[in-house]
Amino acid sequence: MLETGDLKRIEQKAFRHTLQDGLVELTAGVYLVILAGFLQFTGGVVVALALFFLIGVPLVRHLKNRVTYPRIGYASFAQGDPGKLGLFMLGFLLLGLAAMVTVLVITGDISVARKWYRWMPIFIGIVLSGGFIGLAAISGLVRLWVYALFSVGLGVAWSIPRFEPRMENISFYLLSMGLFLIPWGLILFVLFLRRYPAPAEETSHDVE
Amino acid sequence: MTSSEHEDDGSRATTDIDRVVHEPARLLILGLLYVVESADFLFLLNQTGLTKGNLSSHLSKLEDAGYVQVNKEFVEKIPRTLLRITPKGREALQAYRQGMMQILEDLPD
Repeated sequence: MLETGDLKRIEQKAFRHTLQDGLVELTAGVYLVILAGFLQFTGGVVVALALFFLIGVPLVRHLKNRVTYPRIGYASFAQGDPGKLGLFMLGFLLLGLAAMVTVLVITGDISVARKWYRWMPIFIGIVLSGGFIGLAAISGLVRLWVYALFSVGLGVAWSIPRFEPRMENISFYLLSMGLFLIPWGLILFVLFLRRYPAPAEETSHDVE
Repeated sequence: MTSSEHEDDGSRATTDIDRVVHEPARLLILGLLYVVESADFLFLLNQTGLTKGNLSSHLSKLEDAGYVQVNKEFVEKIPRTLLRITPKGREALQAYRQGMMQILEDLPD
């Protein structure tokens, strides 16, 4: 405990502890599939985004309160420096944009606006990978680095085929990324439930 | 610094060690609470590997020393006892760290 590294390891271990339920993967996966559906069948994402904040976030919180915390306990972590977080996210947004523009220039599609949609999966893949990398940096979980790599790889893969109408690439990317995360989340969730059976009583433990 | 002055400094550093923090279990508890905003008893139980009675006893000592604060709240009708390190607890941990580093640095090669 004498070195800053020791505290960092404690923090990582504590954060990893809270991620072992697989709910991040499960809810992200389900949400991406829903988003793909909205995009494909309605063409709009505003409702999907609203659903995420109005239903998705409270639902995850509810599941954590009812399923996760009674089994492994509750901890809240400091939000972190908002400036640093903002810069981190902005960095990945710009990286994604740069990658997409580079590809557009190389392929000559930059002059045709409707062709930009084809390469959007690369942008989305890089931005999503930023989220996974951020979580990986805090928790030290290897599987998050795998998700990040897969996210980028899938983005490239779904940018190659030419689809009509133009949103198909994006929809397929979101759908496949969601279908990749859901089984992971389910497996982790089942393993979590087996490792930590339901507590005998739903009461907190008091300091005696 | 003469060797006797060295010894005096070493003895003083040793006697200045905060015995509340110095106990390994309490040091781990404080370390955990240092890196989180708050945590409940079950979380600390899982992270420390202590028994319930042991953890309770250590938390009581830390609370009596003013290093840890205990708050009770309800979340979705489930009572939750949250523990937080106090500013005094943070200072105590940092002072302990500096004190131990000093002692280790003063060790002869």
